[in-house]
This record gives sequence, structure tokens and C-alpha cells, in this order.
Amino acid sequence: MNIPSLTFLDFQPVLPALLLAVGGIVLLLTEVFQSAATINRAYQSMVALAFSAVAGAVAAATTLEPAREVFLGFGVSDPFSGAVTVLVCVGLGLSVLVSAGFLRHRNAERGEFYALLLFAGAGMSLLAMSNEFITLFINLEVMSVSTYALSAWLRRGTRPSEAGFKYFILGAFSAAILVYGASLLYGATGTTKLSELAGLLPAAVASNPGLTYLGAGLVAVGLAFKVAAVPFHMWTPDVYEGAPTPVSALMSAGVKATAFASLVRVFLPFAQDLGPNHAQLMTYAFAALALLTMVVGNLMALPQRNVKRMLAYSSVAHAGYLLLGVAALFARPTGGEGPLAVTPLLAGAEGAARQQTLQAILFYLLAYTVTSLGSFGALAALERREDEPRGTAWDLEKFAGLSQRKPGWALAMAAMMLSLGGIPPTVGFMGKLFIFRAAVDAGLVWLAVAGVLASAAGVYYYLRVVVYMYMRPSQDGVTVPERQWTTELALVLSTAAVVLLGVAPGTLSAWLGKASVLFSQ
Amino acid sequence: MSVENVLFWVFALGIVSSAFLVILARNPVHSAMALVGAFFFLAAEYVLLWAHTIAVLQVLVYAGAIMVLFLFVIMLLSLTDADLQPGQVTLARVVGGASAAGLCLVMVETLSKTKGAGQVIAGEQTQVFGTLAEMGRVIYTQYLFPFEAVSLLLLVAIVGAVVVAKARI
Amino acid sequence: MALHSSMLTWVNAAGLAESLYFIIALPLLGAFISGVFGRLLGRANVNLLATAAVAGSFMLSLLVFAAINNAGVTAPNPFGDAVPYALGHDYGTWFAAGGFRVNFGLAVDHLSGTLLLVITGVGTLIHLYSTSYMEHDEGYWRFFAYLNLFVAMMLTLVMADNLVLLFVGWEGVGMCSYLLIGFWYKNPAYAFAGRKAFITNRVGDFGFLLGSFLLVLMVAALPAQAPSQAGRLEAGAAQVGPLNLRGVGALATALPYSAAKAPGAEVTLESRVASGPLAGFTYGGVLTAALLLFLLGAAGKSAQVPLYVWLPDAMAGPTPVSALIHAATMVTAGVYLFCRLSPLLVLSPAAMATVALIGGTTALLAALIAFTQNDIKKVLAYSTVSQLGLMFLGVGVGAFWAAAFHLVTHAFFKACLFLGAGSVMHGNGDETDIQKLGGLRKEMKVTWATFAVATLAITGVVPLSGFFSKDAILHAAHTHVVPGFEGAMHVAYALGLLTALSTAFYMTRAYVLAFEGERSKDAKVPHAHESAAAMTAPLVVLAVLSVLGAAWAFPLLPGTHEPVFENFLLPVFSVTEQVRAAAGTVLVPDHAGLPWGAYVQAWVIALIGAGSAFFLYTRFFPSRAGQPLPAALAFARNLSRNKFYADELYEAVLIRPLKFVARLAYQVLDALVIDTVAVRGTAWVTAQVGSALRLIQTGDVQAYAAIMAAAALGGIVYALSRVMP
Repeated sequence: MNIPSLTFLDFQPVLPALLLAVGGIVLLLTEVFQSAATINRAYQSMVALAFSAVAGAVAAATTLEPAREVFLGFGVSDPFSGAVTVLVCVGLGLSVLVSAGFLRHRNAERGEFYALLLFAGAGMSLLAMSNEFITLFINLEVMSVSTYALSAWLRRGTRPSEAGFKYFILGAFSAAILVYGASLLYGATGTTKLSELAGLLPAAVASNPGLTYLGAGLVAVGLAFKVAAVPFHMWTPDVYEGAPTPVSALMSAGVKATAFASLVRVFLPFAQDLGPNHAQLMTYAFAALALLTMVVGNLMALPQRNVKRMLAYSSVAHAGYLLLGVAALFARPTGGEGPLAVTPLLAGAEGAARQQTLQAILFYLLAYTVTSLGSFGALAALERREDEPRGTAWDLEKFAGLSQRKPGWALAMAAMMLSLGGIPPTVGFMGKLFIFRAAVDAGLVWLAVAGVLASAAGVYYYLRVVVYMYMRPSQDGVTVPERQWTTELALVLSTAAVVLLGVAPGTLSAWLGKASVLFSQ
Repeated sequence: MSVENVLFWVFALGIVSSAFLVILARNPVHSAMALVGAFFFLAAEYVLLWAHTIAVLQVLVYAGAIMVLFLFVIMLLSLTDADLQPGQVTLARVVGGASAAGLCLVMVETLSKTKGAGQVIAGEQTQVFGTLAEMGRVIYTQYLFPFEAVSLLLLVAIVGAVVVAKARI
Repeated sequence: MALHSSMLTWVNAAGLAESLYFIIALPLLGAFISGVFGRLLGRANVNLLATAAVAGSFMLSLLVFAAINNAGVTAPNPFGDAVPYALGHDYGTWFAAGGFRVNFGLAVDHLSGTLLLVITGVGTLIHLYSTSYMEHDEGYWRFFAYLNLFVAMMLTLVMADNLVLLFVGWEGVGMCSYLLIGFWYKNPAYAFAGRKAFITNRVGDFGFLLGSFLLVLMVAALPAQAPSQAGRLEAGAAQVGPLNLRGVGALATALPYSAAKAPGAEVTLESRVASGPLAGFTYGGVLTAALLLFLLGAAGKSAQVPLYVWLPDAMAGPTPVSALIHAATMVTAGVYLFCRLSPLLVLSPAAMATVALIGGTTALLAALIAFTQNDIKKVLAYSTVSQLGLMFLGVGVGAFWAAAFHLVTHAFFKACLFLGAGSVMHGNGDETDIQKLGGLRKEMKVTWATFAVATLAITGVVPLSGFFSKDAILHAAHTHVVPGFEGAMHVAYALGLLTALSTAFYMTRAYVLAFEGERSKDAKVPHAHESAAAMTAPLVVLAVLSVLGAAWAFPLLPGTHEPVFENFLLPVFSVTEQVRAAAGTVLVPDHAGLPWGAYVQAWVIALIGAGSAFFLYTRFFPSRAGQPLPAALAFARNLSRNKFYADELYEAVLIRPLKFVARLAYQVLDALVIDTVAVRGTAWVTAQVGSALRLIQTGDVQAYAAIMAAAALGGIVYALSRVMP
């Protein structure tokens, strides 16, 4: 019996996830010892914040280590997974900050909430490094089950439990599709490991093209559900609206980012190791998905007067821009050199082009994480508990005249809206620039044009919020909730990030460029 | 045709027919009992594949524990006859049903075209495959990473279930 | 120029180049402080701070301007030899992804230097004016923060040495303009005007971005195909990025016009792109497409047909804003952009003809609409659109220096006119209807005098600046020959002449109705009062500049008939001139002598227009104001009746058609086509589609699952049909 040996090197990459899980357990345990007489929960958000910060720091410190397989190939530790973990921790930290004020305001702060947040983060981090279908599925479920429970956290009125339940049912449905697809792929290739899949795919496609593609298609559907690509997005607005706002923020940022990470990891072998015809088919499939998602997401957001629903649809639209990047990643660069890359890429032209596209995707994910957290944070700061049952808590009218009542919040929200709309000098503009450039590089010029047009339409509803904040008088008798320093800290941090990264993205994009390395044989 | 072949088809017929009963039965208790039947037939198929452990777990967990839960829920709901009337035919149901049927067709079509389909592979596995010892060996060595991840998943599931079940936060 | 060089021996040019960012940083800092601490600081401090920030910028600009008049001062140019008479500094990589990079660099040459002075100089005056104009407004700190921010953005636009940074400024000024138009947001119409401006501009920005993409693709494709021609281009692009403004010149130099004109060239405009997404298109075709996309962008920002509609509505903002943004600076950004792209423009006669015709059409259309406007700010707004059209006409016929010159003189006299209008409104209870004004000549002496000077300048009366700048454009339209497009150029010239005539007419009408004659009975206040010194002083300065600006048009240099300004801009357009000469797309006659004939012609046109308006509105219409004539005097009555017939005739032959055309143009084009169909219509259609999609979003989980399943089925069946045998 050969017992494979595992060394510290195997465990080191999962350190951030372990830290997050330990943080969650600490919170669960301390919550037990809260006596009814002396309830003090102020420490909880700080513990959660500290654990996510440390986990993020550990991940950042080890991101650029060379890519390698861990746990016998069930996981990989590569710069890409490290960068995604850092991104998750950033989103987690901001989300914890927003949650603290939000929950305190509703008298709903419990250790379990932060524990579930941290567990979800651990699941995301593990998902980013999963390199095998069973592992991938389990970690996806860790992430999903946590978010199912978190969406139903507030149970006043029917909305939150409806949100949680809807998310759960549809999530289970899509998970089943994903597992079924993975099993078909196993049937076609005889392996569940992605690293072995790459080598076995050509033979499998040659002998059983139907089985392979059916499996791949079902896996794609399962992941498309998680990234909320049209037409698998239907749950998004209902769930985002019903879930507590900080949770919606984490869903739109962290869940989406990691789902994209696994999408890239699973499907890159298909584009890379099969012939050009298959790569083209993949590109077309994802390009169609991207086009549909961009157009429908933006159009649906247009008539929304409920800002939270608008942000939900906007997150669908942003998934479309990211899918544009994914489609570009799978496209074979024409002529071996990215046309926007002025210096000719000498060796490994295709790999270098892929790395750039991956960098664009990572940058966009980061930009969207910060911006989305900021905008949901501003929304969370503004919504009042009393309005929730009537469903008016997120009405556009609530933003009217905000610039006079709360100039700081209005400024932060305006920065977020500009960034979501892709207007310089914000990080959103840079993200869009990189993504569209990557698409043009890959020869998807018309898709990039469609993306620019769709985002131009998007500017309308983002600016409507700005118009209400700055150009509408405030309604009489509207009060805003009291200030919470944690929420305001989150707003300050995200606004600073949005503007600074928009003005000087150089350092970060260089780092992400180095981190855009996937493990490959 | 070997004995295994005959048994396979018998059990497969049992699975499919009890699965149809689950859908078609008007009374939910009948549906649940049909589901138990489907689980048992499936367990039998596992035995044919030399996967004893999974067969036992299938009976214990699904036919035992989970079905009891199902029956509890059905009893607690205390449905009346009016609740049991067939629902309206809505567009969503028609589309959903048609798509499900379509997906099923596609899968059958694909699988039937798959090379090697239709051959019974039972017996090709060694007889230790599927024993508890072998499964334990694989889970604790090769599949360590997903196995440990499952522990996290169970923890999350417990906490999540408690949180959702709590009357008030 | 010797004076300058001796004056500046103590300035370290390299140090000055590195410190260029201070010019932008000052107003930016001002905007930050006014915006964040404005309410704490109080009105007086904000006034002082905001004005001082721009004035400081003006001082620095003066220093830079003096420095670049020194022959020894050069700006580094990675694409070739250092650029004389310019300063520039590259602050290093701004962002890069793979081989594509954009550097953060600022540069000032004679063109941007002049504009720096205009922006900060006129900006300072307008800030000063605003301290008085906004003295009763509660949102003064917001106003000055926006205004300072605008100046910073405009300076970024002008000083950027690459198209990406230029685009940041471009978007920035658009945003500030949006904020300032909607400044009095409590009026929903004003807020709508703000949105209209923003959306129209986004259409243009789309063109700008796509145009830049095409340029980058060309820069990337060229070196592989023509290594020897594009060596410098490639090296430069690797160093500072493909969108550098010097790279535009290098790209134009590397692309000969045709194989006939450059035998042995590896690549000409006629050859096809070999690789990349553009493969198969000719370089000339791509270039024309890129220029037309840039034209769309410039048309949005500079209010040209078909995107001019936002500018008249933009008058909803405070008047100083109209003067600064919608007359002097931001709206000229399109002209500036095309001056920067001029080396490429002269390679595409088709694009030139389009620019010229768009400019000419806009100029005439807007002038015709201005005939019937009674709101003084609307008259000036349409006049601005018309004058911008003239500048585009100048660009289109290849007279870049003339367009830039008209840009500068227009900034002076139009800012003066707008501020004068603001002063009139200030002194008359915010009355903007010129028919309800009148007789202000006696009551607002300073405003009257400056307004009259500026009117004469825009009318084109000798010897004011407007005469020379407008004439330079028209003269170029007349004499420049673009082979293949002679007809279009003749049309453009005719449009220009008609515009000059119309301009003289409507400006004189506005002036006469507001300032001459008797005070209207409908006036809001019985007596107008002259504005405070903080408002009149800028008026005087601008009026003086409107006169003195003419000096740049005189052929003062020994041995040549070249106007001073043309000579002054030679270093800026030297690449353009080389490319033009090599390509032979525009034939420019030598300066044989002063164009006396053209001068006389232009003068006569101006006098006819102004004279007829003056006659009609001071003598003719007041006299027929419907007073019952003495019945006894039959002869007089007959005469009067005859006059009446003449009037009817005149009305029928001249005024009615004119009014009809003007009204038609206004109502059909402006109100119906653009406002209703284009702006509201597209919004309506997208909103309807969005609402229709909403019907699917029922909230029913089963329906969601059904749709997911159906979509999965469709996608998988399609994929399988592609791969299954």
C-alpha cells in the first residue's frame, strides 16, 4: 500500500483558507459563551476583519511563488489562485465592515453571520485552487451553502427567506447539472483531474465527441449559473434584493470572481489542447453568452427604480464584460501576435497573449469587487429597516438630495456609479479598457464594439443615481440612519481604491500581470 | 446472456418504473414509498458492480434516514384533498417539462452513440473494489483534499441549517 | 523673440518642463479645497482661493509660454528629432499591459501654449466675474469647486501628450460641464438639459474611443509590414506608447500617400493591412474611418451637426459657465483635437471634405436658427455653434492655423458677449428676452461699449480681430485646392460666405434690440443698473483683447506676407506641412501679397449684413409699429400704405422665407428629429425593451428553472450539432 506523502508545501497554499475557517470556528465558539446579561458583540466584526486581513496578507505574500500541484494534483497552487484569494479577502474584509453597521442597526449581529461569511471565503479560496471536479464541486458547495444561509439571515417579512429558498433551489438545480456534466466528462476521459484531462481530451473528442461536449456543456451551464450569465441569471435580482445588502455585495463580488476563476481553469484545456475548430466553437459559445449577458443585463437595469435591483442587473451586465474577456482568452490570437501589443511578442506569443487577457480579467474582477462593495456599502448605509417591508428601502427617491444631507456618502456613491459606468478617472474605466483591448487583440472587434455600446447604455442608469443625489431636492421628512464608522471606513477605503487605481493602475496591473499564471503541465 | 446481465435489466426496469411512480402517484406518501423502491433497486445495481459499501450506505442513508425525513415532512404538512389536485398547466411547466424531456433525449442519443455503450462492465473490476477497506484507503490518501473539504462543507451545512431554522435573530 | 530669450536665461527649461503638472495641480487643489472645506471657509475665502488658483495657473502658463518662445528650448521626441519651441516631460509609464502602454506625459508647444493662456487667462477673468455674479447664490462653493475642476480638466486636455490622457481631460470637461449645466438642478428642465449634454457627448466619446482603437491597430500593424519606413514609429511606440501625439506625426510620415508619389515604398495608403484584425482593409480606408470616428467625437464635444443640439440647451447653466465652457474653451476641444490630428487629416482628402462640409453646414444652419431666437443667451449659443462650424470649415480646408486663430479670437469676443449678456441679465432682473430689453445703451454704459466692440468683432468689421480670423478661414477655403474634391470645397466656401452674412445680421439684430432704441414697456425692472466692477473689468479686458487679437493676423515679419500667427504656429504644424507637401492632397498658394480683394469682399459682406439689420431694427420695424396714421394726409397714408406693401413684399420675399427656413430648421431638425426622435426616442425604445424583458422576470422559481433548462438544451444541442458526426 503506497501512502502518498504530503509535506508542508502541500498545506501552505491552503493556509489562507485554513485561517478563514479557523476564524469562523473561533467566532462560533465565542458566540456560545455570550451570556444574555452581558452581550457584547462588537469584537466579532473585528475578529472577522482581522482573520480576513491576515489571510489576505498571507495569500498576497505567497502569490508569486512558482505554480505547482498540491495534494496529488487535486489542487494547484499558482499565482492565479493566489491573486483570486487576495481578491476574495479584500471583498470579505469590506463586506465585514459594511455588515457590522448594517447588522447592528437591525439588532441582528451574531457570531454565526461572520462565521458563515468566513466559511464562504474559505470555500472561495479553496475553489480557486481546486483542480479536480470532485474537489471543485465540494468547494463550490461550501461557498454556496454559506451564501444560501446568509441570504436568508434576516427573517422579517417574506423577502429574505424567499430569497434564500429560491437561491437554494436553483443553486441545487445548477449544481446537479454541473455534477452530471463532470460525470459525463469522467466517462469520456476516465479522469476527474483537470491536469490529466488536458492530455486525455484530444483522444476523448476523437472517439466520443458527443459525450465530451455534452459533459463540457453541462459543466459550463453549472458555472454560468454561479456567474449569473444570461439566461442563467434569473435568480440574481430576486436573491440580491432579498439578501442582506452586505451579503448581496459579497455575492456580486466574491462568488462571481471565484466562479470565473474556476470557469477559466476548467475550460482553458478545451481551448488550448483541442484543435482550432474546437477553440473557435468555445470562443463563439462564450462570445454569444457574453453578448447576451451584456445586452440583457444593461437593458433590464435600465427601467429599474429600485437601486438594489438595478445593482443586481448591473452585476449581470458586468458578468457579460467578464465573459467577453473569457471569450478572448479562448480565442486563438490571429497571426500569433496581439495587434494592440505594439512590441512584437517573440517567443510563446500565444501564451503571452493569454497572460495579458488573464491579467485583464483579474484586473476587472478586482475593479468590480471594490466598486460593487462600495456601491452596496453606500446602499447599506442608506437603507432603513422600517422601509424594508414596504419594499421602498432602495427606491431611487431615497437618493434624492443626498449630496446635501450626506455629502460624503453621495461622493462615494457617485464615484462608484462612475466606476460602474466606466468613466475615467476611475478603476472601472481602466478595467473596461483592459478587457476591451484584450477582446480586440483576440480579434473579437465587433464584440468589443457591442460591449462599448452596451456600457454606453449603462451610463444612463448609473448617472440617474448621480442625478438624483446631486440634482434633486431631498424629500421632506426623509431621515437617514445614523452613521456607523465601520460602514464609513468601508466607503472611504473603496472610494480611495476606485479613484487611486483609476488614476495610477500601473503597480497593481503589473502585479496582476505577474500573477496571471495558471498551472499547466 | 449472463446472470449479471439479466439481473441488471431487472433492477434497471425496477428503478425506472418506481421513478415513474414517484412522479405519477397522486398521494405523496405513495410517491415517497416508490422512491424507497427506487433507492433499493439502485442499491442492488451497486452490488452488481461490487460496490458493497455504497450499496449499504445507499440503503442506510437514503432508504432509511432521508426517507424518514420525507415522510415526516409529508405528515406535518397534513395535506388535504384540495391540495392534491393537479396544478394548473402553466407556460413555465410546459417549457420546463419539454426542456427536461429534450435534455433527456439528447443524453440518451449521446450515450447511445458512445463507443462501448451497452456492454456490461460488471466483473471487470476486482472483487476488492468497493470494499470498506479499499474505500478508506483511497479516501484517506488520494482523496484527502476533497475529503477534508467535505468536513468544512458539513460544518457550514450544520451552521446554515441552524441559522435558517432559528425562529428569530 | 529675442526679448523673451534674454528674459528667460534664469529659467531652467528642464526644470520647468518637469514642473508642468503644477499648472494642472493648482486648480485641482483649488477644486478640492473649495469642494471639501468650501462651506467652512466662507464665501470671501472661496472666491479668493478659487480665483487665485486659476490666476496662479495663468502666471505659470505665462512663464511656460515665454520659455517656449526660446529657440533653444526643445521637447524630447522618442519618434525622431527633438521638437523645437516646445517643452515636454514624460513622467513614466501610466499603465501598461503586455506590449501596449500609455505613458503619463505633458507637453506644451506654441498651440497648446496659446490655449493655456486663453484657458487660464479667460478663466481668471471669468472667475473674477463670477465672484460678483454668484454673490447671492447659496451654492457658491460648489460652483467654484466645479469651475476649478473644469479648468484643471481643460488644462489636462490641452497639455496631454497622448490621446488617452487627452481623453481623460475630454471626459473630465464633459462631466464638469454636465455638473455646471445642471447647477440649478431644482428646475427639472435644467437637469434635463444637463443629461442631454452628457448623453450627446457619450455618443461622441464612443467615436473617439473607436478612432483611437483604429489608430493603435494601425501603429501595431505597420512595422511588421514596412520595417524600414516605420522604424522610428515602432521605437517610439515601444518607449511611450502608440497613442502619443508625436506618434500621430510619425505615423503620418511613415505612410506615403500613394505608390505613384513614393516609388519603392514598402507600404502606402493604398496597400492593404497584412495582419491583425484589420487585415484586408487598405491603410487609407482605415485612416479615413478613424478620422471620421474622431470627427464624431469632435462633433459631440464641439456641437457640430448632427450632435450640436445640446449646446443651446446648455445655456441653462449660470452665464459665466456658458462663457467659459460653452464659448471659450471646452467646445473648441474638437478643433484642438483635429489640429493635433492634422498630419493624418491631410492624408485623407475625403475626411477633409467631410469635415469642411459638416463645418459649413453647421455654420449656416446655426446662423439661420439664430435669426429668430429672442433669448439673448440662445442667440449667442447658436452663434457659438455657427462659429465653431467655421473653425471646422477651416480645419477641413487645411487652414489649421486659421482655425486655431479663430478659436483664440472667438474665445475673446464670445466670452465678452456672454459675460455682457450676463451683465445685462444681472442688471435687468434676469431678463433674457431681447424684445423686452432695449435702450440699455444709456443705462449700462460699460456693458454697452464692450458688447458693441465684441459685436463688431464677431460681425467681422475692420480692424477687429474677428475680421481677420474669419477672413483667414474664408480665404483659405477659396484658395486651397483639394484635388478630387474641388466641388465640395466650393460649396464649403459658399456656405462660409453666407454664414458671414448671416452672422453680421443676427448679431446686429441682437445688439440693436437689446441696447439701442427705447426701453421696452415689458421690461421687468424700470431701470437697469450697471454691474459691479468685478463684472465690468473682465468685460473691458476681453473687449480690448478682441481688438488687439487682430495684431496676430498682420504680416509683421520682415520679408514675408505670412501672418504672425501662421508663422508662430509653424513649429506645431511643420510635420503636417511636410506630409501635405509630400502627399499633394492640398495645394496651398504662396503668400504673393496681401489678399486685398478678399478683405474688401469680406468687409462688404459684413457691412451689408450689419447694415441691413441695423436699418430694419432701428428704423424700419419701429416705424411700422402700428400707430394709426393721421387720416387727413392721404398722400402720407398712401405712402404709408405703399410702405406697407413694400413691407409685405419684403416680408414675403425676404423675411418670411428666412423666418420659415429658420423656423423649419429649428423645429424640424432641432425639436422634432433630434429632441424627440433621437434623444427621447432612443431612451423610450430601450426603456420599453427593458420593461418587456421584465415580464419574464416573474419571480416564479419554476419558470426560472424552466428557462435555464431550455437555454441549456438549446446551447448543448447547438454544440453537439457542430461536433457530432
